[in-house]
Amino acid sequence: MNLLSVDTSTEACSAALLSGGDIIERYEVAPQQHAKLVLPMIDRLMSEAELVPAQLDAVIFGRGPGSFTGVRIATALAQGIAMSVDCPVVGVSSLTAIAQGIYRTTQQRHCLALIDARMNQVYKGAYTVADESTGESVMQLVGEEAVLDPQQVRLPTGTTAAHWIAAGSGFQAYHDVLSDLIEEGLSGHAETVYPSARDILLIGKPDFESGLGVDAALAKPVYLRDNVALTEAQRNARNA
Amino acid sequence: MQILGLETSCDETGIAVFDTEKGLTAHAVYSQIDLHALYGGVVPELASRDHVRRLVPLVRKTLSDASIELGELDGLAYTAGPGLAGALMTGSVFARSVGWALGLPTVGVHHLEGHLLAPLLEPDPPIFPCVCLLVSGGHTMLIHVEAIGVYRLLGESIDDAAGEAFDKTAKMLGLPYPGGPHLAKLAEGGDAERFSLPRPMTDRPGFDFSFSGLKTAAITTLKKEVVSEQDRADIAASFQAAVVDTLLIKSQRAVEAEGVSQLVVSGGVSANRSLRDRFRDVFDQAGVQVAYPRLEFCTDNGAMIALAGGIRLQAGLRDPSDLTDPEALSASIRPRWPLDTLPLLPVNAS
Repeated sequence: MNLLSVDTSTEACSAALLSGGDIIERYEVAPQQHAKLVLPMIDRLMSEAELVPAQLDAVIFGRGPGSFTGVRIATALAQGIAMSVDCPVVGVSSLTAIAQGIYRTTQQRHCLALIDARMNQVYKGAYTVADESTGESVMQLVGEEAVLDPQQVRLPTGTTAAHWIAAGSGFQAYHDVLSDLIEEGLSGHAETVYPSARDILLIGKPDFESGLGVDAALAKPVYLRDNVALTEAQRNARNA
Repeated sequence: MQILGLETSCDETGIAVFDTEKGLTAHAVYSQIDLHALYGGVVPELASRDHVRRLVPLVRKTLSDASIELGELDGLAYTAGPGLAGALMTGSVFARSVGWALGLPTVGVHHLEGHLLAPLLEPDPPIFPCVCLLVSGGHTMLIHVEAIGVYRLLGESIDDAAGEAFDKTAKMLGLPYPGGPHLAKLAEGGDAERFSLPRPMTDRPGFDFSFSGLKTAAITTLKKEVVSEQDRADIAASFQAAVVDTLLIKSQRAVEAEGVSQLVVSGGVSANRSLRDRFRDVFDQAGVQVAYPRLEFCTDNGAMIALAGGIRLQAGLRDPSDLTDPEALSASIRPRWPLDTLPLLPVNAS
């Protein structure tokens, strides 16, 4: 099975390739450079694994939330490759990827992933690993992903703050506003954690294996923030 | 060579297949006009969001219309600029990914070169050297075209583009978005000589334009004197005549100054019936050939990008294919890209 993954949803740009059971990855923190970096990254991974594009079984992409342009870069790239080699695509949440990265590197089983959404807001998702028995555990979303004011960020009800770690650029940007949360006694925080293609791949692989991959035309970004402009009617109402 | 062209610089997703031997074999445009109408203008973020939804279905439809498979393509051409950065990005990343996956060359095309060469898709193509009047909602330019790829800017609008002035005046007349074509329709029943509006900058040398003042003059007249439906038609006709006259006067001067006998008029406003009539009357007498794109290729489309890209790919110009080359890293989009800095085609190619 050969799976390619990409994530360009935040300041980090990364690509990973699963081939022959091994995952290789390229990862770089390079804001605004994603469109230039990502294809060369993929190209190098493929040469390293001695694969050609037609051998790919699926493209897994970071579908957001995050930078609007960034999530579109990954989406358009997944669409272009998958359409060309006629393979399915799997979209993976960038918030889940952050949580997965925390679990992979620290074994912390409860993660509050926060990405700076600008305009004094964050993208938020709370994640928990339910079952560690399989050895390939994937973080599961608790509740819903949301874009909200940092003041509104809460841990899922009925959980103990001491079990949770907060991670991501949203925590870094709104550290002060999130102080209530910190005082509740989080077990820790990891600020400069970005989604990585390696985690995107780990999360998307079981989806692909259970047939959840979709046609290239259905590869869609998830922005969370959908009101990006006022209609003329809204502007007139506001000025009235 | 079979070239897939992709245009995503603003609010139209345009896809086409151009065969360098047989010509255009299929094309499709998805216009976002309805989407942006609610907002009274193009919202760049919404434009980008829509392109990423349309690309795959539109490419498949166009290939199917052209009766070819992806694997039969010889290259891809995408609009690299100028335009909205986010919108350009979707088309560029998509095209380059397809190129990478299929091992095909790609080339980033200058949007205005696409417009300028669009009349080459017609049976009676223009000959070079010529002067091109490029007139749309985003640009008003006079360009000297020595040959394909060799462009010299003679003048441009220092404020609003002509099409933009059309749209803004139409909005003041209460016409639906985008108002240009609606204004032209309203003008059909109007008296173009009723209101005396300025022909900006025609009283001074040079080839620059200014339409902001003319727009304001029209709107002022509108507020002061217009009551009846006939008044509205008259102001529309008077405004249109002033824009067309201004474009005509500057174009005549450019043709004379450059000593050419061929004029190309391209871009959205070149679809304007009154403009085409006036230009024909004047340039026919002067013995100057005027070439236009067919009406559907006046506005943004993939066909002109496939054509311009096809010419470049055939001449061996393409994005760097060695992705380990640092040069390849710079091959992306150029939201601002002066037309006179394009890579030149090798002389023996065209």
